[in-house]
Amino acid sequence: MRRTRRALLRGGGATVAAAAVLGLVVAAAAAVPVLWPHDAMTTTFGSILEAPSLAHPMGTDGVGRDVLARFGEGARISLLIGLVAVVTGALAGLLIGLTSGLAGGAVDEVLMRVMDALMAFPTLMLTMAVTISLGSGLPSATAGVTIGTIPWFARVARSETLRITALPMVEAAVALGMGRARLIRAHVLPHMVSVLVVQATATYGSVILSVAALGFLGLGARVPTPEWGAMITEGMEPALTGAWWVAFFPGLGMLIVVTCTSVLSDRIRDVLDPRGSFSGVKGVT
Amino acid sequence: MKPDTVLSVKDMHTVFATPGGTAHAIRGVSFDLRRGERLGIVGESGAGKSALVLSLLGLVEPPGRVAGGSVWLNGRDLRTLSERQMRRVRGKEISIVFQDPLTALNPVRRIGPQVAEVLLMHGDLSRKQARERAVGLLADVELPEPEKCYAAYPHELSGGMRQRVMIAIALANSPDVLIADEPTTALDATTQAQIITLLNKVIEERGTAVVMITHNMGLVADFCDTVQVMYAGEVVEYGSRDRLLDRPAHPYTAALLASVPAMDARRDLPLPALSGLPPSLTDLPEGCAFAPRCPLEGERGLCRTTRPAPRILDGEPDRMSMCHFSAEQLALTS
Repeated sequence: MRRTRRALLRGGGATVAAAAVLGLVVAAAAAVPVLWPHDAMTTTFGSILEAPSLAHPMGTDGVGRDVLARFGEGARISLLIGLVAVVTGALAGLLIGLTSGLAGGAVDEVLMRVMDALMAFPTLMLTMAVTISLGSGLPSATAGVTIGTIPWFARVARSETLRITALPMVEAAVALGMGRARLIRAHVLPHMVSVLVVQATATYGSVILSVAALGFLGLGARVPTPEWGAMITEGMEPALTGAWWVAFFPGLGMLIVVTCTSVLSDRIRDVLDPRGSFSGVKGVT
Repeated sequence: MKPDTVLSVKDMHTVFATPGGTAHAIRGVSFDLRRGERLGIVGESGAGKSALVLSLLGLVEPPGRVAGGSVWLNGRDLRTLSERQMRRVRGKEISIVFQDPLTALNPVRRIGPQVAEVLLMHGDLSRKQARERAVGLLADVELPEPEKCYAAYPHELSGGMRQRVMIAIALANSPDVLIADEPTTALDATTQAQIITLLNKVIEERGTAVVMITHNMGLVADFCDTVQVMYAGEVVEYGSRDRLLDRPAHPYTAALLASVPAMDARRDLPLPALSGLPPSLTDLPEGCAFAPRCPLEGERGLCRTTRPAPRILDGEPDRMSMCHFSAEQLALTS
């Protein structure tokens, strides 16, 4: 574990910078709603569309709410929903892929054709369709986004299951009387965790974007909710009159989160992939 | 069946469906294994050695299937057991050591838990007891510092040490029969000798019967009590090691032995080699499978038309040869 962590940080400036910046956003999500004196929902008609200043570092919006406070709440929503969607999607995909890969035959065929059907839709279309059918709002947006990720995890989990169960060590374990449950626990899962983690970090950024897109279109978070996508919608009109900050900061937040997670997921893949070369990692002889 | 028989295979047939037709990988193999006996099974690649191992363990998977025969172990026919029952037999009553210990061990888990696991799978030990026994087993296979090995990952051990771990795993539940599938092929010569010495020791302590699959004649001569020669899915000759190696009764055995390089061979002569290839298992010749390559056969019609029956040799009980002209072959070598 310590070796992995060290290897992660040895990835050079980009990795460290990405981790640091992402850390800042996470800190904002954690600290701003608690520590920042302004509330995300309180409207102050005396201070409408104020430009960024010391009192309001990100300015105020069209009804006088502090954008920094809303940015912090928005970070909370985005990061949490991303996490929920990715974890649920990964677990569901893992279950489907594992079943498919181990059962084979008709079960495999049916499950994989369903996954193919889901993947045939552009992800955002699928996400929107599910969200609309569930009624708009953050919970349905989360469900929609989650369903969009499942087939990708299922495909990876299935191919990993097939790869691992064909390994000689699994053959050996079976020849020594290992049953299916223990086989999954002892051999299959430990060997596919890394691939799933890479897939999950890579998906995380796109999930956050999808949630924001739904919010922007009015399908996800509803308008007073300080969700980044919804905030951009609210900021469009002020932006026409020169108040760029209302839409700019939530957009910047997304840009940062997506860029940083994609840099980190690349690095995680390099570190976890046993075929990659770990330059300078001791103990691998 | 002899009284102290542990494993008895009767008329085993295994086939594989291939695009080119049905491949008859095992064609009527029968043998008995006595308690503590060390049986060597030799033959070239494709003779059916591995298919035999899979068939014994009930691990033949589609497109292959065991088409007939029985495998008697401890009074019951393994072929009639359900997969669930069979799982309790594998690793407990009949166990196996594989050729390549590196690929047979899980690289991301420590050695110890992998040994303890086979104990937990087949017995009702507590985790702590299993751990203690596992350390004991690692000591049994003469690994230095067994406690340290318990906590090591496979890549931290040498090839020989890994094979010792595999032996510990295979013998963890004191099986009646141990299948050793070319256990020394992946090791260098000095390590091979050490592993064989170790195997000798641990199976003697436990009275385990061993089926040694190999194409190393030297190993057969060192280790085995009895030898079975396979060719094209059949056992063409069976007998005690000394009798069989000294006086082969089947021309294939004779050719196999003749092609083993000897230290005192004349260097200016080419090493005798058997020409031709084993027959295709999807398109076997009508008579003796070995007839097309047989140095003895010449142009005898009998070999080309009639499959020889396994016959007991005169005056030699426990000796079988599947050749019409065994007497002639014996006369050649005596």
